[in-house]
Amino acid sequence: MTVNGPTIAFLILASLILSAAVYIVTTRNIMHAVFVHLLALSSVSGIYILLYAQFIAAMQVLIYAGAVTTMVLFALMLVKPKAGMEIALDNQQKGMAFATAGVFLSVLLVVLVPKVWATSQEKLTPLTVAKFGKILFTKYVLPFEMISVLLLVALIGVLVLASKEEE
Amino acid sequence: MGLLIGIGLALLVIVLVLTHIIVFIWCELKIFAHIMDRYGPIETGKFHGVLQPFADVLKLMNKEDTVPGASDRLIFKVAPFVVFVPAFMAIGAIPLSATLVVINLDIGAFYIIALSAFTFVGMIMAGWSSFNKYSLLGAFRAAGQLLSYELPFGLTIAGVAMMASSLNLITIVNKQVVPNAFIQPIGFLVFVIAAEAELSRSPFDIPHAESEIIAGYHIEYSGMRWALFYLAEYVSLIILCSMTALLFLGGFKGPILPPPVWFLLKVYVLFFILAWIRITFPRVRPDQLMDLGWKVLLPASLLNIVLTASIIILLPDIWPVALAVTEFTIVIATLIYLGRTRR
Repeated sequence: MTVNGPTIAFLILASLILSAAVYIVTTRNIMHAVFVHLLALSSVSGIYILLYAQFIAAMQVLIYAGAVTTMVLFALMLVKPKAGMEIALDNQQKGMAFATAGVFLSVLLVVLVPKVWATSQEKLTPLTVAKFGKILFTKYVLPFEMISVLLLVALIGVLVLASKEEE
Repeated sequence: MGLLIGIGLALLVIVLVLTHIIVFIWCELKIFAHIMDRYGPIETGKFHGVLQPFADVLKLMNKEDTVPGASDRLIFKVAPFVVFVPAFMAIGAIPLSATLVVINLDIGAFYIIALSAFTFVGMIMAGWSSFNKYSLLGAFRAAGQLLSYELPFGLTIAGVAMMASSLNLITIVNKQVVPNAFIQPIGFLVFVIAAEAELSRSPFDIPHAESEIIAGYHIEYSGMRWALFYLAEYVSLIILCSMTALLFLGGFKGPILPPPVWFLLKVYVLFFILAWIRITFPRVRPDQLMDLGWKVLLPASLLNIVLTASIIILLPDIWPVALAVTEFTIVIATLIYLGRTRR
């Protein structure tokens, strides 16, 4: 690994993302977790920029850093009158959690560790919006439409739930 | 060396923007005053109070930076920067002419909207961390309003991008033979109203309605931290005026005068119109705000997209004329209808 601008930027971003992630799961203040989550999400958009995917980076900021974080904040403040107070985040499922995480970790280790990653000699070219749109609406049109249907289902589900509560 | 030039240019942009803001603040004070039939600042600096904004800045710098004892100190201190820094980052993507731009991004228009997403979170951070009921209310109002108006705002930009088949601001300007406002009047009107709401300026100043919730999310801030919120608001004002000029009014294009002059002239005219709107319209209620956003502006912006797309596909040769005729007919018909029912 050569030391150059992108590598340094990647290392900074990666350490930011990882330390933010660790902070999120260890902190007892749930509001702090949300705000540090914002840091992690915006750092991920930095990684996209390093990969020349400007459009996806901007999307990451708009959807995740903006909308999703705001939604999480809304939800937290609506259900908890004293959001931000130190609360016990433990429950009775520690054993289960460790078992699940352990299985997942071992699967990842088995799959990822022996693999030799192929490196491409091709030079990265910036992914323009036009190229992105063409790929999205030709090669990946089926997954794209599937996601649209999924979101529509979620939207209708929310409407049904909300109208039930009103009665 | 390249890095040093970059830093120098960035500083130059910051200085330019800050100078503009100071002049804008003075102009706004004067415009408001004269519309209300009074003088406004008149003493400071001999000539019509021109030094008033400088005096304000000095006062703010000297003020004590108070942090409420019960607040969440770290988030309280970080919040102004989360609002301020992205606002300044967006300035870099705005072209003053076909060549005079800090970063010529392929996704220029979209980059500016994406950065504004940080504003919501910054406002909620400020409002929540103050542990003050009014500031929390203000933060929620701000987040609700900005999120609702982000949709029509983004969708009208999509309409413009379809006509130019690009999101690059310079390409969008270069492709405008006639300013887009004359081809897409629906998009233009929706964009300007949504921009006004995004700025949360009166008539949409619900997030900091003084008579209801004092000052909204920045109620506990003082000194330079408060000034950062204030500055961020004016930076967003400049950005949105520039976006309107670039997307709908032909940007830096114009006869005789050099491009940057045309661009700045358009921005100043828009600034004047926004100040005029701000001082002459009463504040809307939150329910009226939501009605306008979701029931009028969002359908209108979707209609704009559908019309643009179908006319470009169906009439590839004469689409600008056809689109202009269709949209103007709809706008005029709506105005006549409203004129008859609102008597």
